[in-house]
Amino acid sequence: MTLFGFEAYKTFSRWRTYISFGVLALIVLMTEIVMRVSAREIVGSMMKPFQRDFIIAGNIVNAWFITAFIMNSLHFHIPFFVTLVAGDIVSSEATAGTVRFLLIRPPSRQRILNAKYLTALFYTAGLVIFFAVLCLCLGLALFGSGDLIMHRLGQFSVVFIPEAEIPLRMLLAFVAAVWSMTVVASLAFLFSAMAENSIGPIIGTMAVVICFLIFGNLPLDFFRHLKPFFFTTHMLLWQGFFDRSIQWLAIGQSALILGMHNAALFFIASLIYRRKDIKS
Amino acid sequence: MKKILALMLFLMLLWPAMPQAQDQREGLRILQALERKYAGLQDYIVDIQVHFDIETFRAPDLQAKLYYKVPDLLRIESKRVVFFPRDGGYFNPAQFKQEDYTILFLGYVTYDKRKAAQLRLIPKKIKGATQDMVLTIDTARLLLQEMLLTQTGGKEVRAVFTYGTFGGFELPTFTRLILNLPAAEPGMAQGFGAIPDGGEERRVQGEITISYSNYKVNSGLADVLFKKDKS
Repeated sequence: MTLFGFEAYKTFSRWRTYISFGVLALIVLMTEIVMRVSAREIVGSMMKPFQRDFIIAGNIVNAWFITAFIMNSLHFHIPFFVTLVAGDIVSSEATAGTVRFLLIRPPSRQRILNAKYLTALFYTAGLVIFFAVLCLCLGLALFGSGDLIMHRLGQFSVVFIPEAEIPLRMLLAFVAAVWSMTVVASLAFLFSAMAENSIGPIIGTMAVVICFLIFGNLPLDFFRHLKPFFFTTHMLLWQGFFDRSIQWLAIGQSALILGMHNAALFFIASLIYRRKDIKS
Repeated sequence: MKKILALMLFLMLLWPAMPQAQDQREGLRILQALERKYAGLQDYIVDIQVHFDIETFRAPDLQAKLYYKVPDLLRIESKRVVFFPRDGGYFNPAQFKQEDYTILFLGYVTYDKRKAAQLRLIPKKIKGATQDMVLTIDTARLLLQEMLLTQTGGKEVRAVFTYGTFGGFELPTFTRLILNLPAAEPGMAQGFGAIPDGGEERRVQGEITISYSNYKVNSGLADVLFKKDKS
């Protein structure tokens, strides 16, 4: 626990750790302000297939809708911010030349690695929680509350979640989002344990995430069969909390698969780091 | 002789058009009678409850207050978000103006053990989604019993009405909208242009039911009430 405290202190005393929080705040702020200005246009374009058939009354563009809307881009920008710290957390010791000083101390390599991994997870959770709080607070101030309408673009498909149910579902969705982002953190952590500099793990992690996202969306049978095995497919488990009835089984399966990814990635990182030659 | 021949030829040319004109007159007569029946209806307020039974449209029952004023002013008030069917969702006796439609009389049928006329109305100018409608009107009671709407994009809606009497007017107490729609908007690419299974268009079928209660008829609603949220 002391080691984790030291690692957390080291991480959060670096100014670059806060770049992610700053950029994330900027993205949310800009998105919400633009959406506030063009709320009517958004409703018009998103609800176009329904407006021909239905008279839609009430506040559709509310804080919950905006948050869910921004959350849809979660798997694009948050992984990058996660890798900035998780991809640097182990390799930065080599870059800074402190790895030998660190590893000749009494705590074992495994304990040091555990502390670093926990710090990476702590940072990931902090980032998603910050994102959630900012989205919701700003959203409630700018758009107010209301029922949540989830709609699939171009399809006659709507899920209507009553306002009273939303806070709990939103909380669960963000917990799921934290869990999904920990896989990105684990992947970046593995690359960081393998590398001597921070650029490689950051770019490598993003490359893997982007490749899997593209493969998962290609309309080819080969990739369709593989899609259930991609961690990026299961990273969207939070969306299950915005279905009419929560798909617990599917969410549980995805959470388990992501957990197994985490365990496997950390296990491999531990194996590599314990055997790492720091003398040459 | 030539005059007789010319007259006969003229009558022969007119012969096929005569029953058609007669049919059109029959259709117009029924619509006019329906219009006259509701001529005194100026406005109404009603509480509505909308229930969705569509696989891809998952919503709880929605409650709202509906305000209507002739000819086509409508306002829906609700504290929550409401999706209210535009066509067939509310009773509008001024909806079938003969100057707006080409009216075809399809014939008499037995509907719910009563004699009913079927009319086909084709809008002269297409404003909304509806391209064509077939009305089934109980001729003795002058009640619109059923409406079959064919809409853009291959949508089909069948509206079935149940009536009660309020303020001297027969108004719907319950409406069933039976939908048969394409699952995706036409022309919309799905994913990277995925081809539907078997090359066939997937369709959504379901039902929307609307219950109406607490009618207040001809309470003198002002136009200003409809200005802000006129739909």
